[in-house]
Amino acid sequence: MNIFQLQERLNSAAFAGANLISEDFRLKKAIEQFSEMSSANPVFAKIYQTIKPLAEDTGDKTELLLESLTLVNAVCTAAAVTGKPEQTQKIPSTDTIPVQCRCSEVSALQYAINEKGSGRYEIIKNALDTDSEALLDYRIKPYLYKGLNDRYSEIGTLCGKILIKKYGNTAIRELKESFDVKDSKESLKKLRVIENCGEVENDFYISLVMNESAAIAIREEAVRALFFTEENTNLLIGILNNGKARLRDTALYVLKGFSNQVAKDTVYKYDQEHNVKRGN
Amino acid sequence: MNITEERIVALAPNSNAVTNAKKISKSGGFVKLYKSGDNTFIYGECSGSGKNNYITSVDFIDENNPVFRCSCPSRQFPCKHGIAILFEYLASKKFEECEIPADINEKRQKKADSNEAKVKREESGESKKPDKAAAVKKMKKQLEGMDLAEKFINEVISRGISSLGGSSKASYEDLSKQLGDYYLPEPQNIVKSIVINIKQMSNDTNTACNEILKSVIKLRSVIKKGRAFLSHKIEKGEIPVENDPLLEAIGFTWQLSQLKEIGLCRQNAELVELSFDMDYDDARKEYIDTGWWIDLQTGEISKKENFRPIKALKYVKQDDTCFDVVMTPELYLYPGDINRRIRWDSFDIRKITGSDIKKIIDYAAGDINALLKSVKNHIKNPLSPDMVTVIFKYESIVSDGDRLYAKCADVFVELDDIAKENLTVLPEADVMTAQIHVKNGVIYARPLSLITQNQIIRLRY
Repeated sequence: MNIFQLQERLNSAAFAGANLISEDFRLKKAIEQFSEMSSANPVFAKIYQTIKPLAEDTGDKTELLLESLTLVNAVCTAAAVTGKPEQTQKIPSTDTIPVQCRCSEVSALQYAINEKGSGRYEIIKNALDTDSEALLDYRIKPYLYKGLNDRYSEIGTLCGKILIKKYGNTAIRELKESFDVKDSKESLKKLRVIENCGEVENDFYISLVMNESAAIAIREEAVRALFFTEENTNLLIGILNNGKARLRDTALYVLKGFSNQVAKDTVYKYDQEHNVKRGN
Repeated sequence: MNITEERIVALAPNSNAVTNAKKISKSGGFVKLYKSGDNTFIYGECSGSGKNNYITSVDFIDENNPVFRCSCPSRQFPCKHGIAILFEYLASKKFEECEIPADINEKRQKKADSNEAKVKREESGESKKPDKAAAVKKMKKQLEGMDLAEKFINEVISRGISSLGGSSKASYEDLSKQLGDYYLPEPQNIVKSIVINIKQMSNDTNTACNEILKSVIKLRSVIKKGRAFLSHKIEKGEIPVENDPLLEAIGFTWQLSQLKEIGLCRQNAELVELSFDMDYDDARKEYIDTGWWIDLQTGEISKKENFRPIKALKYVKQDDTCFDVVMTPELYLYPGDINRRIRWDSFDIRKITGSDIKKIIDYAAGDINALLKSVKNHIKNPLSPDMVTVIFKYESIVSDGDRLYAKCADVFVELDDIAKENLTVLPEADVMTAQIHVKNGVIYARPLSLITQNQIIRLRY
């Protein structure tokens, strides 16, 4: 029986009610066990003197219980200790001096991105339109990433715009680092933000298309993103010929937007074949 | 006239006023701008929604207490036009020289006469004498209220906390209203918080029961000590105004003049804000803006609290983060020994310097064991707050995979209420501002800010 266990028993007695203490055999046992500790030091002796009457069958227990709790709580606080982790590692840090804005500016944006309610879109849009420094506050960036998944797609789109405008390549790198190819819900939104970079991220789109373990919706969006450069023509033709149905349809759609002759010929031939099959 | 953006924000009633003022200034709202030859008075004509332009002025005859005046119909004080003219000045727009208007001179004279009379009264000891009979009557009423509160505590503990709920909620809500009639606002707030937790019991019984028990123990201590204190005062026929934090626990509201009278006022203080936060207290139905400040001369860490009742949100100025040094001719300190509440009336602001940061770092505790021992000694008192805000030196922040710790030599203080991602984007620091508290026999630090050689990095606001 240690002081913290005694505290727990006294708390339980308070939750159950002082009227029931006479039936609380666990508390009586705890008090009995604590008597062995009472000789350890004067503080424990005082505690024991205070709690002992609780174990007796007579007398009003309410004031006694409160007195005991007050004393035991104080001793438990005094006995509190610091942690003892087994193995630790220093957390990374940066050399960048963080941008810090006032509470009124930062909390308004945090609320708008994180909470529910009306007026949120206006707050974020206003910050973007006025080029508010708060958008660069180091406490806002995590909220912007979270905001990509806002239930209102307009807010998600706005957050994506802000990430590109204010954080540029850093945001793109961080989006790619946290990209989960299997999580179509969140990653689709990240991919759409990355697509703001156009053909610069072409290798990334290709890697997603070729990744057979990626969710189909992500692969499909990645095929759509191949639109940014006509150098993807041969790849798209490959998908059209060999890919899964959804990817084929998307590849066809993208090829139809290309102006080079190979793409045009492929589309024409594909359409002809499919019209013959349908009996047109 | 010391006008900086930081100062303008500090003078503004809220952030909307600042935003609107900036819009007025940027859009050329002021058609005429004047300033006095001695640089103590500025005024201007601003176009508004009304037929005539608004006349707005700011009088800096008392540098620490500028007086705003405007003919617009807004009840906000200072209004956006008053703030906007300061932005005009900050933007170095052209202000034509003018004479100080006669009515302004009259008002200045009236204020100077009033101040002189006040000083004369204070010097001659003619300040308003407190009514002893009324004070005794009030204290007796408070004692009656304490009896009611004690009955409530006994009932809660006899029945058992986990049986609270249902019909008892309504009677406890009545009790909390009654305690206000007995001049016991703080015990009233404690009972209100118990009622709120009773309502939460269906969601999270364990947490609610623990919170209720904590409140009951605190209320009991307030009653026990408050009763002894008031009974003694009644017996001696004394007014209960003295340097004792128990007064606030009962619900006494200090006036600045009373604090000054009992010697709780320091001259010419300079303070730096370490952290700022905004919270809503459901029991009090108030927003509370809390700034944690360090006194550059003494190293004492104190809190500045600004209470904004939800019914009066429009009319009470909201505090905000302050990045610079506040200089106040009179700093009022509330009774207490650690993390005392502070207030000031008039103030000025200057930019924080490297040597200010160095001073703060020097004040940080180096011996973590001694610091934690002193904190524990303080928070074990049921009337003390559960957390103590301190600054201490640390070597690094480490993780064991699940938890974060501040490593101070061979002592690891677990950090709570902070995510690792929030820290990894920051530079290394030497000193941490944190709220130390105890939970289930373990000491935790809730980090508020990190202090490097060059800056204070706020983790809250």
